[in-house]
Amino acid sequence: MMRSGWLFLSVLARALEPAERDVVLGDLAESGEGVGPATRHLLGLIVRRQVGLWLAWRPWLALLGVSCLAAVSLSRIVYRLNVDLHKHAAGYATSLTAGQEVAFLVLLAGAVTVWSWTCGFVLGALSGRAVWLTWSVFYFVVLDSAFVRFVLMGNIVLRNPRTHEAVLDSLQGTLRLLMVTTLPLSLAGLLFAFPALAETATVVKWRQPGNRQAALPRHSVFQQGKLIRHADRLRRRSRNGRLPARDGRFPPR
Amino acid sequence: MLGEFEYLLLSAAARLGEDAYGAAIRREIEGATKRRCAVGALYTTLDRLEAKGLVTTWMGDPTPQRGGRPKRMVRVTAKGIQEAKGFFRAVSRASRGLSWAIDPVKVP
Repeated sequence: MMRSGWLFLSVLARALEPAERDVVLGDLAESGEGVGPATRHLLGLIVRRQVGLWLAWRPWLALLGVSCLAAVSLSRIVYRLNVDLHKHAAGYATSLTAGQEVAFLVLLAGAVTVWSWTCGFVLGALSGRAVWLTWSVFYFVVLDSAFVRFVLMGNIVLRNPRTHEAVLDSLQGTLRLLMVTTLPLSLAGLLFAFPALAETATVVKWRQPGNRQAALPRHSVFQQGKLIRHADRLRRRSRNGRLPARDGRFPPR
Repeated sequence: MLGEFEYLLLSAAARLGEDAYGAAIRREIEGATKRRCAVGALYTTLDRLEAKGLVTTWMGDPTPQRGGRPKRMVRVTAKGIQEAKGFFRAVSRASRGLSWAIDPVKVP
């Protein structure tokens, strides 16, 4: 078998447990099969192993509880942070003072980071080797659920044959859409993607987190609750008109 | 009761004795059935048999022929031998008096 073929098989075999990976690659080397049949054998084993993983309840809990339910809530906070960061950058008038606005953004960013980290921990701990699927669903739900909501509400028009001004009517627009829906291009996107990815990778590597590591998410859930409450209190106080705006004046009712 | 492929795997491992490992068992099964044996089917069945306590497996030494990768060695347990005997007896009883069982197939 050619060197490139072995490289391909070695990459593919990473979907298996490390011990089994070596044994199976050794068997394929010994049998002297070509890249095609060896790939078929390897894919067959990977599919069987993945199906076997989904016979347990843990990956389902990760998929439904974290990748679907928690991810939708997190996506709303990520979207909120995104909008508020844009407003702040554009000098959009709000009823908060400059210091309060920065404090609000920092609290929101902290909540996004801590929540994402917690989701990453739970995904890694529950999913095992099915993590590639649960994490992908989690990532795309958080990144794109606001976008999907706007498309469904008609705020974003993907294709319009009459005006040819919709997103998918030009190559540039299509490429931009592809990038926006697949990459965490905003600061809020980075704040959610990296902690979640880093923590999932760490937990999958550890395999069985100890009591101390398992206590961390509990602590972080408590902390993020406090962060969100602080941020919410800041916003509510400003809505009541009790705090002056950046220029020192109170906003009109 | 064992499945057909489980019986084939147990028989191949028992015949190979101390030399029973993944690739050798696969060759043995392919030789006996004259059909391709999928690696996926072999290792998932091996896991199932191990979970039932019919075989024990452990990591063998790496060899240069395998690119320095280890073998998964297999040994049939006493319980595995009992199960295989039971399966064979059941198939023999079920085949008694049947046309294909009267003239046994000649093994080359």
